Amino acid sequence: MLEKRTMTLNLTPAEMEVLEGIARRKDVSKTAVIRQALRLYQLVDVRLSQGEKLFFEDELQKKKSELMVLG
Amino acid sequence: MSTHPTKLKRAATGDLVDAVLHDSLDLDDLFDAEKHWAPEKIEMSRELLNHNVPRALWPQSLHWNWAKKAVDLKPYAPGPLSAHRLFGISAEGKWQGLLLARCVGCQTRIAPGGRDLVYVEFVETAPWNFRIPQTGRDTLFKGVGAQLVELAIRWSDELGFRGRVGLHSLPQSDSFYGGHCGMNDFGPDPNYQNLRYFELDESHARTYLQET
Amino acid sequence: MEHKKYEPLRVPANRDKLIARAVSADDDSVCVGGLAAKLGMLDERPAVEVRRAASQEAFRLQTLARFVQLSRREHGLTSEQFATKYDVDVRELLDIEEARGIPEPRVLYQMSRALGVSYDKLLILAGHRHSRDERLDREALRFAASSGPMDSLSKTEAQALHDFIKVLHD
Repeated sequence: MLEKRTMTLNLTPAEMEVLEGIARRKDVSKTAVIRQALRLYQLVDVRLSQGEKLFFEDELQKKKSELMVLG
Repeated sequence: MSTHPTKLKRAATGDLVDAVLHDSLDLDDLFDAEKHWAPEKIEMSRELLNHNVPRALWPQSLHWNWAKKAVDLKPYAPGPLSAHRLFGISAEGKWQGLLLARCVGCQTRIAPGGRDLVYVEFVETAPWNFRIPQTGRDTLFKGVGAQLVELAIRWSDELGFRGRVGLHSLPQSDSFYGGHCGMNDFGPDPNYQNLRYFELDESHARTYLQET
Repeated sequence: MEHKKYEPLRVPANRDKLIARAVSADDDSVCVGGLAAKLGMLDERPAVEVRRAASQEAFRLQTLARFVQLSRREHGLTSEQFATKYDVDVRELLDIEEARGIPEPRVLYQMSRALGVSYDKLLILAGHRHSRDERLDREALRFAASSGPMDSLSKTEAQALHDFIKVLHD
């Protein structure tokens, strides 16, 4: 197993509530949520830096809205 | 790259042969596999033509060429913190099968819905592992597909998704995913050209990984 | 570099039972089409249509196979004897009887003359002609359901064969 490093994360009550809510809804640990968030952020960041844009699409209304991610 | 020893069964004799599970491949390995599989795919096409086998009965992935789609594959490139991971099985110095899976952006449809799962983007077995009764061609090695699915389930488990896996099966593979794998069949998905969408729930994932 | 390495999957050292289950699975066809669909690599026909067409063609070939085999058995002939009597290549005859590939029109013409049935209908069964012949499909289903693998024809098989022959006449 790879050696892991420990980090202390200071979150506001609101941020912790969001983290705990996602963990509960997704039935995963808070650590798993943070790891997924890292992957998602990296995925988005790489493609944005390649000049692509990220959209959400409403299939029913056939609408696309751009998601702005400030780098 | 990390590997784990395993076995495959030579269908003709029933003998078990040594094989290797690979759990962290990259796109280069996919292209290597394609390079070695290509001549056999061409031979298979010739056999199918010579036996007048209807096009609808040809293995659906026979004409797939991932190298041709190399540029389109870039966003799916596996890596340690990537959303994608590429698994493989090798035996006798050759790639016997590969599976590309994704862990971000896919949610369960099984109630209560909305939970993360590992989505299988593709599974390819080497053409000599296909069985085509119309040309008399039989599988060389058995156990490739089943063990690739096992790796996807293990990855899902380690991510905290409790083994949940989803995929869109090609028609000729529906009975494998619905049957052997015990996945729930959600029927044709109009967003994926009516391929059937299958999902493995936690309970069946636990059963799949059971050693007892 | 450390951060370029994957966390290896935890795979138990002893997987004997898992391996035994895996190698006994019917896993020669495990292809998955999610990424292929996204990248435009799938057949143009929707998968449901491909599945339906494939199963209909397979069914018709099986029907043709069973019909030729039962007809030969009704004549009381081995494959070799039948091939000699009706000037058919014995390998081509065996291919038809085992639904291996699609028989060529030339062979089907020989079979139609040998068995006294419509060449056109044999072309439809073999997939060389496309026709929505509902009566043919219906009777093919009944014929398939009533025949079983025996050396000599049972009364039921003989009756089913004769009923199907009527459908295959012009």
